[in-house]
Amino acid sequence: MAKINVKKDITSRNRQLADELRKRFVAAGTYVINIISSPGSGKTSLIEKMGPQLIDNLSLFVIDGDLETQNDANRLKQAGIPAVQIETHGCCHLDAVMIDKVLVNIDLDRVDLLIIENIGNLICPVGFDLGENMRVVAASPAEGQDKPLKYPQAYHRADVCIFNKIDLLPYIKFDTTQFEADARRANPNLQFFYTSCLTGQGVDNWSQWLLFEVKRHIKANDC
Amino acid sequence: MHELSIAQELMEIIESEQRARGFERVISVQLQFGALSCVNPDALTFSFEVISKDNLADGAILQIDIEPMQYLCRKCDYSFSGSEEFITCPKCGSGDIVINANHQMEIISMEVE
Repeated sequence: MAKINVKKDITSRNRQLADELRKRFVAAGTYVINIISSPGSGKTSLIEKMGPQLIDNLSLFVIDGDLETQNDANRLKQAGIPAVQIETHGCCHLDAVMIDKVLVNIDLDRVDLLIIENIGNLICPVGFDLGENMRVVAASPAEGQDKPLKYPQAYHRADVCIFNKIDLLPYIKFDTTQFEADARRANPNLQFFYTSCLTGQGVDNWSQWLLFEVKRHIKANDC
Repeated sequence: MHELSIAQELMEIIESEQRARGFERVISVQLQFGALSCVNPDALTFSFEVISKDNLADGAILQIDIEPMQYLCRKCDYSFSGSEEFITCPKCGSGDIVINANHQMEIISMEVE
């Protein structure tokens, strides 16, 4: 019997493909965001609301992931936002292979902002790089106070936290100061946005910030 | 769950090592995961048993070492490991601590024959 040293990354296949996707996105001038959250935090509603605020300045495309149904992509298309649905039929996350396959349907050279709405799941999607520029973790009051403590991975590996459905705050016992402190313990560099897709509050703040980031990226890569 | 896809990746690395080094059978595999890796060890072991049935790794034992959660005190720069109950720095008592762990998943070594 012999012991052999291996020292290899088990996730290297997805990582390598994600890096290739990243290069493709840069070559096409496409900025990519990956939105991760539990089911029901309002990811689709957020995209539905922010889309019209961005569409005059950026060409958008959405890749929407769900286990079943074309509901979310159909909803976005009805709102005038181009979208394609990935139905995983049981897989709990999107990975680089799935994104690579669906890009056949998308002319990236004509897309300024590609929004990936991941499967509603705070665990599995976190481990799969999709070649994105920005990762957003979304949350809402009814999900419970201590999610950043229970799911630190999701907050640690995000750039932005969008706390949605703030219109519910008068009706639910929720301490947003503690929530933000807990999230910053997992990731002190998180950029926070507070939004309501029902009232529209805060969505334009997020959209304008995102627009600035996308334009900055496009300008930097043109040089 | 995605432990099955991780087990498949692991099996591909093992097969690649066999092509490179020419052993017959895998006895055990030593794995190291960071505290922020999203893997359930029992689910991974079960998935690996399914994937390795009747091949060179059939019966191989997965020895999974998951690192404890690592924290950094931003007041005194002290790094320490512990459970979620650790909300203050054991050195200076500050509550200004952040998570400082990783999400790596590595195959460190194998025992083969």
